[in-house]
Amino acid sequence: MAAMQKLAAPNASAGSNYGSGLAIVTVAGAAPEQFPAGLRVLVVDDDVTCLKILEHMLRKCRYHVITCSQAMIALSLLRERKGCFDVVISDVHMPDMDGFKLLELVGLEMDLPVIMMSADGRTSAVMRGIKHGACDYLIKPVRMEELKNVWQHVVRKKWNESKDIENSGSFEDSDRQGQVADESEYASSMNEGTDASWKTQKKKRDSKDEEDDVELDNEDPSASKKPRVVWSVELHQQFVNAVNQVGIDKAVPKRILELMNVPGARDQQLQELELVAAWAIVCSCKSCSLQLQELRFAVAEGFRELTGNLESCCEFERKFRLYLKRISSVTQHQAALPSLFCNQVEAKTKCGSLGSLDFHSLAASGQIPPQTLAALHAELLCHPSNNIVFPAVDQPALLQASSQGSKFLPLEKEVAFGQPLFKCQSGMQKQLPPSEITVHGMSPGFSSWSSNQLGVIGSNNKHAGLSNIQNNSLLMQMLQHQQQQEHHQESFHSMVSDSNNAINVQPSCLVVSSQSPSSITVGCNSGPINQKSLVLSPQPSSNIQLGNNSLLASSNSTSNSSNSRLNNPPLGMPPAANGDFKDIGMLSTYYPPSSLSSSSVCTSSAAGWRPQNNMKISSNNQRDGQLPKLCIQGSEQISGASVNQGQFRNLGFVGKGTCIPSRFAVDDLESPTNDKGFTKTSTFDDVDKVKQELNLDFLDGTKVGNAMLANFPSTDFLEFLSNLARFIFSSSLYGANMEIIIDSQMKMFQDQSKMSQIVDAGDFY
Amino acid sequence: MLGMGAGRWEEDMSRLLALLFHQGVLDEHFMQLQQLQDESSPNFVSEVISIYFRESEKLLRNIRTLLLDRECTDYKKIGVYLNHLMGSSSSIGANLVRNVCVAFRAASEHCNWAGCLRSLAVLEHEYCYLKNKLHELFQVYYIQTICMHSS
Repeated sequence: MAAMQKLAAPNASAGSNYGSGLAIVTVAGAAPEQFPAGLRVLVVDDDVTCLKILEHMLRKCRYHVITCSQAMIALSLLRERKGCFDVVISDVHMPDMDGFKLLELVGLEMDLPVIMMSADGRTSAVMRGIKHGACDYLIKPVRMEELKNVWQHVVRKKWNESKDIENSGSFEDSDRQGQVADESEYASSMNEGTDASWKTQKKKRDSKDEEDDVELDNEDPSASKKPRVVWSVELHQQFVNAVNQVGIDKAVPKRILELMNVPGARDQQLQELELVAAWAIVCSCKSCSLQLQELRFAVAEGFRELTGNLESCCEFERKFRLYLKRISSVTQHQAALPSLFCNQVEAKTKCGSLGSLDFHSLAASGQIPPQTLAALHAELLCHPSNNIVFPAVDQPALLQASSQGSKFLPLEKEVAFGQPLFKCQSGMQKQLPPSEITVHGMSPGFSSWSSNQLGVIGSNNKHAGLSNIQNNSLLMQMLQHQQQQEHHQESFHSMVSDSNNAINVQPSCLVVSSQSPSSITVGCNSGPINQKSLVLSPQPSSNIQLGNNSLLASSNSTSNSSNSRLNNPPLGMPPAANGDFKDIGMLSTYYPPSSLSSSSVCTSSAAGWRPQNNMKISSNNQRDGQLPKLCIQGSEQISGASVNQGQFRNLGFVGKGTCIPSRFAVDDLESPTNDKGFTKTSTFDDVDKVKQELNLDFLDGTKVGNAMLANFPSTDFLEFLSNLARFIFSSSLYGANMEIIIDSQMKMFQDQSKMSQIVDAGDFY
Repeated sequence: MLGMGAGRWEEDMSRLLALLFHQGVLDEHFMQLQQLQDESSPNFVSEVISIYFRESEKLLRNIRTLLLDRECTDYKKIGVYLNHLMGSSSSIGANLVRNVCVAFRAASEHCNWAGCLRSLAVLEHEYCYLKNKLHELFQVYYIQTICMHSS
């Protein structure tokens, strides 16, 4: 068949004369007044049979049709006669050029709506077409009704284009994308020629959002439709500048926000960021091994409650994990992330609460490297798409929950998370291995915080009454303990372990936790560490932990030597810490997260982070004050920078006075409600960006970007978190700042009723 | 007599069409194809069917060539041909041929050579059946047309 049939040359070929009296418009002519009649269509298909049929059908619709059986000729035709066509219908499989390639080129060069066609009507094929940006995807045999709707695509595309131009300066990217997505999702092949199919496609697209979504809102049904702030590099820089300007000590979310002058930045987002960051910090505290678990669960649960979307949690976890991996690959330090992260277990924990948690506290503390926090936050808040427990989220929630007691009391921003850090800082710095120089470097900064944090943490004690308060009290105790230890120049690791011990956060305490924290930790920790933790916490919950530890032992491959080294010191610590804690009874709530394999986390992100489905946080058991032997985990991890095999980047930047991510600086000192920060959607995006930004920092400006993320195998969220925690830890953020952060986070959790089970941040230490 | 026979031929055609529909050899798209035919394109259906037969035979030949090679490894190419055949068959309403192609495609995706051979046999059989029936249909149609014109 001829490659092309020109409508302008009426011939005897069938279909060239409508017979309806409609004048045959030349190809170059404008469409007649009767819309959509006269729509100029170019059909490309190597199947001559279909080509002929389509041509006839389109002519029946009173469109102007030009057919072409070769893609290259079609392309040249389009190029020669720009503006002569309104829509292109192309087959997917063509010998000389892939239909999607043609789609791409047409979209780029001529910006015409392209409708794909194929005999392959399988969902995967259709999805592919939609993803490539096809306006529609027709399944052969093409029906007349579908062709009659072709004009809709033209109109829609034109209108959206003009609307895009109008909204070019808007933040509502998500809305626009949504619109465009709607368009592209319109797949008449999915319906009987009606417009209903696009909804199906949209839902499908939303539900299986495999691509990196910029906006979490799409996936968070419960998320408010407020404009989301995308945490771009610019924003991050603004944040950093703002924090610098305000001064770390005074960096509060409100202030930062003012300085940043970010329109549309929601407190919630920042809260989320803070939460995530704080959580990450807590996690990174060696002592937090147990608590991290609980935190994780609590946060996840809280998050889920907030967002009502488990997917978000999973996505958050996933991204957080990716982020951690990225960090780990960059950093030299091996902060042993508590195995808390490993516990993906009941992935269904709520992730929502995380959002509003620690970030505020983290921001408040201001000591946490903004990038880290931001990254954490971003990670955590990104859409969780996997069914992975949202450990990161849980943690903050847990922290808060624990700190708050039964209630999910969001920690005040300046508080909560600081505790664990606090503990760690004093002791750890000493023993920080050379690789953790950064930590040492940070100590000065930390010490400045300690006082602050003490106060903050103290406030948490009030909440000890609640069941989760145990956690809080633990946290508090830890804080106190830390204070005591402040000048204790133990090894860094020991610090961690201390905190771990003290924390004894029982996963059960966490709201989320239906899973035993021990399980969480177990997975993550390297073998030796876990076991240690087991030993440490003989309490009832220890059962769980034991289980976890064993798991961890098996799963962890982190540096045992370093871990063991770490373990030892912490063991010494716990007694003292325990004593403190016991008073508060926090311990009971937490059961030492079994060997939060910080080590596992650090060394091989993949190793420890196995989602530990078996991890069940025995919510009940934990009540007995089990002093955290847990902490050991963390400390061990941390001590062995080696453990974290490079998972945590050299957090040296932390000590450089980098500003805390503005996210943290959000003025949301008030208790972040669960729904606030848990926009899993927005934060996740931010997290990704933050992560990237962090990477930049870490890598001396090297843009890691998505490539790095892609390199990271998707592992447990816990792993991710633990890595991140280690990272943070090693970045010497620990110290007073952390405490403040944790405290605040916990307060945030307090405010969020859902975060009742948040492990006290202090427990981490 | 020719004039009187037109009705009979029409009956025959209807009966044949009904049979083909009942067997699933043809579906409603064939009717849609017939509806596309009008005064401006009086031979539309026959033209399209002729094109279809020509193209399909080419495709079937290619597939057979690929499969008969014992070291057949290019299942992807077979898949491409099948996809093409599926598209054209479904466009003209050759439902049964299309369904056989779907099964054939499954076998090719699993790189199941024996399965592909079996599917090819079925495909060729169904294709021949379709071709014969359509020829028959056209013969009746042409005779009917002649009868109508002559009457």
